[in-house]
Amino acid sequence: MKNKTPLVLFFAPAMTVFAAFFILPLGRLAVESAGGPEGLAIYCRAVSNPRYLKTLLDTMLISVLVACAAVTIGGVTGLFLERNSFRGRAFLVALPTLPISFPGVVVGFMIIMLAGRQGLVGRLTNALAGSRLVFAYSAPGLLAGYLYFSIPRVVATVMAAAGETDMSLEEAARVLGASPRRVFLDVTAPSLAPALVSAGAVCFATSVGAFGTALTLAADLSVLPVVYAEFTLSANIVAAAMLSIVLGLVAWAALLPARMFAGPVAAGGPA
Amino acid sequence: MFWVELAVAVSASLFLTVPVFLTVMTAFTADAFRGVGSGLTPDWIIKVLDTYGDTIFRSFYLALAAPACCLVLGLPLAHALVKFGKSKIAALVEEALVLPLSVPGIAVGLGILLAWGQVSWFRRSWLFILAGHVVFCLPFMVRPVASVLRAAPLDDQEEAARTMGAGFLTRFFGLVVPASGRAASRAPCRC
Repeated sequence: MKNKTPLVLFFAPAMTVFAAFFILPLGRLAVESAGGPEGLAIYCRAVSNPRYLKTLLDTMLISVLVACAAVTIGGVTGLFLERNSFRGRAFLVALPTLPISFPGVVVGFMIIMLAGRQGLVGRLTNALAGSRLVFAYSAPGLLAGYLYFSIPRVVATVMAAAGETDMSLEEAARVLGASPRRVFLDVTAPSLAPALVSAGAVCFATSVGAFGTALTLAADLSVLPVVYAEFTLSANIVAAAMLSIVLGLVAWAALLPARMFAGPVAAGGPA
Repeated sequence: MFWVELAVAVSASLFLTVPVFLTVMTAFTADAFRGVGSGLTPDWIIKVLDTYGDTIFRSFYLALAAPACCLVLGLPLAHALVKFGKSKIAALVEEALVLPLSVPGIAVGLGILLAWGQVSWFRRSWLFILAGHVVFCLPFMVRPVASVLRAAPLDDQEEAARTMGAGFLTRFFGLVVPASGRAASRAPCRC
């Protein structure tokens, strides 16, 4: 191509907007986070303050648990839906994709409908056992909420990946006398591994920064978004900026494997 | 094995959909604390529309404006990215574009507030929110369109158009825009 000037002009508008509303804001966050009286030492406080450290570890733990559970449940569901044909399959395929676009707060509300004080689980256990089971506002509720937005993503990723795998390999393994278990372990699982890893990483990263869901549900549990809200409400901009940078780095690092395997558009979650 | 897997799939689907139906039912129930037995009514929906109608419509505008901005900004960018091919700049830009997806929205939000909060006319207008949305939606527009453009036989078509005297913009609107149509039209669903 001889003349590239017009093409450079094609870059300009989008990159200007991107620089103004993403790169500049992130830069301001970084500057702001080190601009308090403590300077960069505030990053040490995130680890040395026992409450913040516990919050950080709790958040990581919950996110890892959610990622593992979502990959297991979503993996089985996705593979099953992709590989089997039966009556009502189309209906069952449509169901898990329904909540994929729900914002985080709505996800939290869904869990309250399910396991809140007036929730379905509470009413059922009240009718059956005479005592209300309410878990929406504690750790199990938070887990359920994170699972709620994670499972659809895993199902979608696994179905897409399973649809593209080469069925003839499984066929060959079966013909050569491999048991269904061996076929799954040696052929199916490895071929799906990239999709599973990337889906798991996306679930983890989304869970770490799932503000809407955490703020709706975490009544007696401190996770990063809750501490974050404390900072912003008390106008502690330095601490909030520091936490933003930490959150951003954690999520970005967690998504590295996902981006290597699947390309980035798989990422992104309820804010 | 079939039945175990079916059970997992069905329970996962129920877990995801039952709360949605419960929510819809509750929205039409006269007294949520007494349950559906108290009767069904559209009053609550009317009340919400009365009270928050403005807000809901503003969200709609926003949901329409964000993809529109992405279209205007994203199509030229996707075209330029494809044209620059394997160059380092193109790879860097493409990588940078998806960064907003891996940084929690609230962090970017606070950053935008810090960087632009002082500009008071902007801070008070809905464009302020739009700016944040556009940054998040841009990759959903650029990446699918770029991959479609990469696969399309655009180089030959452009060559032909150029020899027949079509200018740069004519080629862009006559060839690139139609070629990215389908991919671009699907992007708003994801924004």
